[in-house]
Amino acid sequence: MTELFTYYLFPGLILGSIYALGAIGVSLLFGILRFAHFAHGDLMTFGAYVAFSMVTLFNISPYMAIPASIVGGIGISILIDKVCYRPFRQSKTIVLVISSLGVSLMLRSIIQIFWGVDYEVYFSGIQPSIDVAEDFRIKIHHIWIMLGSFSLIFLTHLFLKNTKLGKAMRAMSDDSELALITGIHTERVITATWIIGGSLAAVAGIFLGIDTQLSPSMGWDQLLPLFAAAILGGIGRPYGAIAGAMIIGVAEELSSYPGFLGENAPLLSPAYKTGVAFFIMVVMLIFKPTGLFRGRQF
Amino acid sequence: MNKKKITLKAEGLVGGYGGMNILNSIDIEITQGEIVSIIGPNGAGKTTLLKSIFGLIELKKGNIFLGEVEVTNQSPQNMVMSGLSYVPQERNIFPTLTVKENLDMGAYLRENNLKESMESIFSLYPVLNEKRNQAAGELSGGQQQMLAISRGLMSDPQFLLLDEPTAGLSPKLFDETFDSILKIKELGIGILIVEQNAKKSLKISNRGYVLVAGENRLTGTGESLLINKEVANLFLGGQ
Repeated sequence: MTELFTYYLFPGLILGSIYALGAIGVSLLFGILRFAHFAHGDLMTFGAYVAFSMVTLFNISPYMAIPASIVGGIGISILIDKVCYRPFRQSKTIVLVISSLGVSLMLRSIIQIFWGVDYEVYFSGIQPSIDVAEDFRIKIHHIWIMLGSFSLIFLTHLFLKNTKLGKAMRAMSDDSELALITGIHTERVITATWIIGGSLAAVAGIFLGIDTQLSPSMGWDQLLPLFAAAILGGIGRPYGAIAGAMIIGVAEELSSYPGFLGENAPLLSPAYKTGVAFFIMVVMLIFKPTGLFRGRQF
Repeated sequence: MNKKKITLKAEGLVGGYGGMNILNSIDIEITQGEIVSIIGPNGAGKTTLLKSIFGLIELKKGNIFLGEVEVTNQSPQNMVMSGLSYVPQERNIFPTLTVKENLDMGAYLRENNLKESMESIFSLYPVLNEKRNQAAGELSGGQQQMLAISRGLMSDPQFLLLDEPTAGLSPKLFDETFDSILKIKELGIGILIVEQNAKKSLKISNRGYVLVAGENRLTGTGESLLINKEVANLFLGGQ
């Protein structure tokens, strides 16, 4: 039982909270701008590498590099929006989707040019952990990642629920034409969405880097689970994205838990982890395309 | 209340979507405290007229004046700031926001006196107060229409443009809606209504315009249009 917690369930929740940070952005952006932002994973990578530079330059912990990385994430998001998406606001969705695919390739190449193509880590050596119970150990980093993700998610929630701009964001996600008629500054709302999406993605990238390692394709590789989480929760529904992310994270980890079959063979080889997210996404799209929280249809 | 009443005046409006003109030449005017109905067959350009006054469709020709100030082809945001409010026929509420949040959004460009406006709206439609914390999408059709009008009132407008406020409502709710429109008129707001339900709408109107094919066909007081033979034949079922 403790094995289930230590090696599958808890890491699943960690992975889920990292996915949640990315999936909230994907979901909010889809709600406001009506397109699937394929470069979102690469925004995560960018955030992770900005932090990596801070870590190597100033010899600080990656947690201390979060503010710099958030600034970088916001900057690049707003720049990309102005240059690559804003000219296509009135165009068909597919134009924006293709544009974001192009942005994704560009971002990854820029990262490779600046930081190289090798795997990097924020720190090496054995990562400290604490014993919660007999045989149940938690890495200290996992505690920080979870606390960090949950506080950011909570802050986002407070913003969406209580601020004028946050409410305007939800209003625009409901109906952008009515938002315009009501007098809402739609461009301002779009900028705010990029600020939130860009910050959360940057932090997600750092957390992913802490949990695993850095590589130029680290974010791109998460795109499938991010979208699976957003779709599972109901696209355009940030709260749904959080629930979806947790389910996907835990499902991916549990898929290789050996205890289910009663023998010591894993249910699925860990190599098929991403397949689990893909499977959930396809099933949802076929049977319940609006997701668990009644989002928009793709 | 002693303030001079402002007139919204549109002259020679020409416009439409893309290369197609839907409005060929339209003049209308409305003064604060008046109810003015726009009636006409489908495709006459009634909704397009409201949209182009509000800056949602670009006018190719014509001018719009609010008092002495020209407001032709302004952005919807500027129109809200100048004192206009537009309530579309469909998709006129934010379904996942609560009733109160919908009203907050109506007041997005305002800084002060929100409480007062909200209270006067709740006295106009008490049911909205009861359901203030419910998601707007869960309201009944009639209540959603009340909320849509209220959302339009929250910006404290001088003129309210209503696109078919009774569409899809039961006959009982027609009367309630028209009653509340009369109350809104008492607040000194000018109300420009596009209506399918021409008879009822003309009854409460000071004046009416009959549009056909994007042009003014007839103009007159609500009463005179009600007894006009041509209007009766065209739109009121021939009685």
